[in-house]
Amino acid sequence: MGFGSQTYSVDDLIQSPPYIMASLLSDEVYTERDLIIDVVSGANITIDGSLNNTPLISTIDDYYNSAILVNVTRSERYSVNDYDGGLQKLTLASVPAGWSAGDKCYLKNVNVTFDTDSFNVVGDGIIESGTTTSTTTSKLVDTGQNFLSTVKVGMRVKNTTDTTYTYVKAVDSNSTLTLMNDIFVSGEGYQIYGTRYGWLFDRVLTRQEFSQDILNQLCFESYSMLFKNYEDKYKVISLEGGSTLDTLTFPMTDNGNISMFVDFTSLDNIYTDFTLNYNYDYANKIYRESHFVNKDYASDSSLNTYKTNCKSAYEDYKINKREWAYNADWIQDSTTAINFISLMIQLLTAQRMIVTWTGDIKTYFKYEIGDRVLINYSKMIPTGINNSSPFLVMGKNINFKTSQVILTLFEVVGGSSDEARQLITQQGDAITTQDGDIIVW
Amino acid sequence: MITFNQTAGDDKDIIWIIRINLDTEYMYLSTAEDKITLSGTDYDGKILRMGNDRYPAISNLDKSIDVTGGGGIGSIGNIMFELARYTSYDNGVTVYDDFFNDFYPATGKKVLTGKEVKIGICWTGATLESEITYFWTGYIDSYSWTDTALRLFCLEYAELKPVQLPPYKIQTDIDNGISYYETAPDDNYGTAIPIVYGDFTTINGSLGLYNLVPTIKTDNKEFKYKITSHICKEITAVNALYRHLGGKNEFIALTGTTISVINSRAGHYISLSDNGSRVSGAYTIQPQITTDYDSSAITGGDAWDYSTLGDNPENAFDSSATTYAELTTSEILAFQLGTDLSTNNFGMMDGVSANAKIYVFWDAVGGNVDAEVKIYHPNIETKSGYYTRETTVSSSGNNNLTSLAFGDGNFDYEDNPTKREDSASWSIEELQELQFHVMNTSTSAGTMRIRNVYFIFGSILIYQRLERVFITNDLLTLLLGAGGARSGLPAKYTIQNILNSYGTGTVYAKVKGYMYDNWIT
Repeated sequence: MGFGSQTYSVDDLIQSPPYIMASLLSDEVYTERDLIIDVVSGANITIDGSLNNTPLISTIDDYYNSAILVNVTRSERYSVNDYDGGLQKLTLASVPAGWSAGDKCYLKNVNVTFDTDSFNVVGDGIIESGTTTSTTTSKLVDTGQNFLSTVKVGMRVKNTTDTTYTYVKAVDSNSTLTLMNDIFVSGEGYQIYGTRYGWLFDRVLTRQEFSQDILNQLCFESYSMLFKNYEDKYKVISLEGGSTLDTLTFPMTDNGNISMFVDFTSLDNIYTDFTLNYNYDYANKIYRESHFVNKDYASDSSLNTYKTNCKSAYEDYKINKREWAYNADWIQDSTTAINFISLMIQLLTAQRMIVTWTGDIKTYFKYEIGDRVLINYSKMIPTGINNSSPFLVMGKNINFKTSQVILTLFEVVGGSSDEARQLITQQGDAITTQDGDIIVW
Repeated sequence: MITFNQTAGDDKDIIWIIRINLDTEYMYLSTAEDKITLSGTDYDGKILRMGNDRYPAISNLDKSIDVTGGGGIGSIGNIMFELARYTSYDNGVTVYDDFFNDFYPATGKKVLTGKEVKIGICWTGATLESEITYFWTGYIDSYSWTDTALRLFCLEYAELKPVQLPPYKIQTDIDNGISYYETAPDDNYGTAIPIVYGDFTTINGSLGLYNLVPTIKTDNKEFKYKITSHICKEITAVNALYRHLGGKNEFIALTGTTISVINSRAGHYISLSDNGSRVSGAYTIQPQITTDYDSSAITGGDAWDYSTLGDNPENAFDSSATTYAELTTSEILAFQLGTDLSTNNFGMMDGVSANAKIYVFWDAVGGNVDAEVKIYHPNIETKSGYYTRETTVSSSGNNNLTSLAFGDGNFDYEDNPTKREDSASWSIEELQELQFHVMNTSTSAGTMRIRNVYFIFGSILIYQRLERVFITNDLLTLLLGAGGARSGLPAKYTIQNILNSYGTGTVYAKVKGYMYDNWIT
């Protein structure tokens, strides 16, 4: 498949959120519709309007290169290798059989490019599994593997022996991965997969909406971000955890003052009770199922751990009760619903840090939206978060005049600070721990 | 993270590059002191307007995504820069000469608005265009000018904004092979043809859950329904369409004698009818209500005594096969269909015995169980409780499935309550008035555990269109010549559509939607 997915093939059913995004963009948004072929000559298809008055919009050479021409009349599709703008002639990758002038068609995947690795990091299924063959700190070692051709930085890693998780920080060699956390010793089982593996999205688009709104909702319900990177390619990232690229250590100073500012997300973003409605019934126009969590109750045993988060929201912020309720149009199954509500509870039950970091343009220009970094600056970042919790670049301001870059960094969900929050208790409360849990006093 | 095409080096200065695509040529600009030549192309450094301290007059470039409340899509970035309106030279050759008159609104000149702008970076010492790292692409949204500068305001592309999805609606304007239908019902013109992602083939009968996709009728005569505007993963010909009857999970599964399914790049649609063929439905439902009607006051006939009801009757009517109602000797389970359906939305039964059946799924516990299943006439009070049908069974085992067919069991009960009309079919209204009971008639200690009771109605007539050509004198003349006409026949020949159509509920379909394609990157 053009995206290089290792678990999905052409003509597989799409249910993974990032690949739905790719399909919406390629198959539905970046299209040119209602065309009729004027001339067919081997692999050359001319759509200049000479016979059927539906000329291609662009007359720029190569504009439709890499597009896909779909012949509706014959239910076939071919890739476009070349486009002559002056003649409005498409040259297909191979010669179609039986096509003729008058065939109805449309073009898709027009002038759109993707950072395909990012889609596979989020959307791929299990691409590697096995058993570690030696113990090295913060590494996964399995000799005889081929990690260089399969694993991508940012993929999720599961220790199947003790059910712990981390992310791939670097692919060192075919047999060795550097991980964000030290979770393996020799002889333990592992799986490596995309960060949205297991999330199943299903939806029928029945009434017209702007594609921007559809994609925005799709990103919200998959807790991910879709944007164009510096190469003008669409890129997707999941917002929790993740692997970090660098550690920021020295902010700029201005007349001796540190050009760094730390703030919190708004108190308006704190909730105590969470309800997620899903499994939309298009016939009866109702959401048939729901999950619910508050400090006293969780609708599923796998959500019990988040009662602690809800309780903390009550007690830490002195909030009587504030309800978060959401109707998910893309989520039909319980597992995906639990995945989503879990992340939203972690996000919205505690204020999260927002760091404004100013740096010189030469050093900091390279960071872009979606990158993750650690901040190692103990004067401004508290213990437990300093040099351990990932921060996501959610804003970048380039000041050409002063040659400065101002990064807005957001403390992500699923970092070490969230692990610690799970076990913060009131005096006298009993807690249940497992081996490897971090306890913060 | 941005990967630079050129290594900066500690002693090298930044040079900002701006390239404007004027369709037939490019404008190459830079913040180099005079110019920078990259791969033989001069990037003019004199007109990208300098401030008093020689810093470029370029606004901040800001891009952000607010993720404090959850996921989403990126914002559109913007930037403004100025071009000085003076003449620049290169070795005595004019490069730019106050190009104010080179663009619209100057007569016959190009429009600057909409032109692509790319912004990049390189470092002093760069010599090749490949060393430029472009990091922003947008277009000129608007421009203004003073007597000294041209100010260009640029935005990133927002192709997403104006595109509405689904893109196709039922219409008769453009024959595009996907949404053009000349004979759709009037109300359906302008209706968007769905786009489907995911799996909508779940018919979880035990939970009573149907996950189906709404369809659009595309022919005002035939039973033809459009499901998507794109090719789908899975075609299902049999039991693909369902009519919603209203209520939580009441659907009739539809089938036809002439089924055609098209799943192509023109979209996915199913047709269940053709001239003369039937569209019929099958309907499975559990009893909705129990009844505790006490008929002890009725005398004569086979009056039944409701006073000895079994335990937990509702367990026989839930979606679980593990819970059960329990009947000891002489106890009964009494119930009715309990829906509010009508012939108009349900259809017509056909009077065939096997096309209306009740099923009882039960176990015998603690000994052999004798049992009877009976169906009672609705008008019990006046007709002394005649029953229309019964069956008796006997078993000492588990997982017994007893059925009783009653599709032909209607009565001419107004005139002669003892006469069963030949092939009389029930209407759904009459079915809903029938009362049913299951009774443990054992004389021994055997207990009857009823795990599920349900009805299956089959071959329900939903739709049928017949074309009839009537013999007329016009037709005879056509066939036999002038002498063919016969007295008494009408003059004109006609084709008459005899239309049987029941039900007005929306039709839904099983479908697996969009597939991965070989998206070229």
